[in-house]
Amino acid sequence: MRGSSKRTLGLRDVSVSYESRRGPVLALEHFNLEVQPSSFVSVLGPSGCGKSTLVKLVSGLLKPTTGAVCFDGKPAVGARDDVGVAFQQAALLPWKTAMENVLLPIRVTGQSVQAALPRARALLELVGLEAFRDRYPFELSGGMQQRVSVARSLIRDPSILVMDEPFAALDAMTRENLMIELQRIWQEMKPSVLFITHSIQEAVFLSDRVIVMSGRPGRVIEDVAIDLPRPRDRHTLGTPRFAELSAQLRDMFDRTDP
Amino acid sequence: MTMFANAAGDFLRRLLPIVLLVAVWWALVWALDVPSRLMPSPPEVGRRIYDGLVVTGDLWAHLWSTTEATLLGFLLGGGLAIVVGSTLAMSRTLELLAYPLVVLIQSVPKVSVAPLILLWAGFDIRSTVILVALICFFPIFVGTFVGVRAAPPVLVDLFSTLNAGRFATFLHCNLPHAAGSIFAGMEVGWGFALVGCVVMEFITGLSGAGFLIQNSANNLDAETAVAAMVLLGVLGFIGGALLQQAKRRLVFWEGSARHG
Repeated sequence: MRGSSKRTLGLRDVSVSYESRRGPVLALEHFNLEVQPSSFVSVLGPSGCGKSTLVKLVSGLLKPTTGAVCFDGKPAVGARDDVGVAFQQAALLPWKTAMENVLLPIRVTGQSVQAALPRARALLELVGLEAFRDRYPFELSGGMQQRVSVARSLIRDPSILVMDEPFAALDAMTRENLMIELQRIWQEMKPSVLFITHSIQEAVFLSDRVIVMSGRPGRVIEDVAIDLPRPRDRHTLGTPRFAELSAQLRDMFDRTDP
Repeated sequence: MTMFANAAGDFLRRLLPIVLLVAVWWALVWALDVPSRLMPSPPEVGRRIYDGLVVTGDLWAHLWSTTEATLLGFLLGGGLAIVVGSTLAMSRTLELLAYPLVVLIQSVPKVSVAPLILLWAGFDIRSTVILVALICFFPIFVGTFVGVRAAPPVLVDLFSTLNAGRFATFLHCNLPHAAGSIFAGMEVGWGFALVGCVVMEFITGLSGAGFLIQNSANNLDAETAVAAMVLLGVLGFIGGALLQQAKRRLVFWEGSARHG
């Protein structure tokens, strides 16, 4: 299921400001980031640091005030078919089955649902839900709903997957399981992932690189390479290197949040 | 309440207020010695309904005429309400232009337009259908508008990231999301529709339950008038029950635990 064309995502000197009732707010300032093809990059930052602004920029919901969002160096306009988005909430349509939800991106853009069926089936299998494909979201647990959402974000074989704190609404056990599973899925599909989180554990476990952001206006203050060998598993969480990296990030994180 | 634990018990419990109402009615008529030309007792009305539906069958034509006009007007008004409500909800520009107009029209009591409708459409079922459509439009319009607008922002965002067009977003997101609210509007609208129908039947005096009530009250035949009222109530109840049944099937995800 591995996609053929992988792109480099680049944010070039991006600033975003918007009007609020208390005057103009600068959400991001001179933000620079490059995500290499097939790499897993987490963005870690305090709440209100412009993480969701970042998601909106890359998914095409928001235009930068200055600077540009580039794919392979070319500035992008609007939403793109090669970017998949997984939101904090699963955001499933309650009147559609798991299968229909996975196929939604195909259906709403008028592509052939028939042609996408095998891929949808394979994706549901990949997220471990092939037995639940005819179930409605209200028949699934929160973790299962989030898996369907991940499968949906992969249906168009995106070269870039944006995940906005996708596990934040789940309980601790489910989070840990999904974290391990997401690594497996990523290793199989190899999209570039821009993973927004406020969990140091998730960031260290999953990433090739962790970007630490400052508080508002959001800027990159550290770019940490995670050199833990893959595949990582539950034991990785207990290794000294994992603890060391976590502590290092914790210190940086604390400095951003006075 | 183990007594009412099963389905039959549930049915009995629903029936209880009606039984009580009939009992109070009967008791009052008996205790105050009301002459039956002013207010007949429940058995007298029951006999009149039985006669009219089974023995002579004279009530059927009126019942059908009321049902037909109400149903046609409801479909016309409801259909228009869903189309207009959806369009205004999906377009800010059209909303700014047309919403004040809709509210303005709504502030005029629809019944006051009835004589004019008669003037324009004539002594015909068309007049009744038009008044019914006009009177049940607003609740269904509001139900549609509010429901379409209330689609969760995260779903709307999702459709934007998918590059879905406005119509695809409406069809796959806003409209299904509005279904429950549209049904709520239709339940209110069905009651309104019957009011519109009866009012027009009062005026035209052609046929229908409204005509029957007017005509028999003029002839001091309270039995027939009350019988027609009871049948109207049954019509209202059946319509509401069918809508609720349809809602339960079509909007199956609402009321289920754990929403997406």
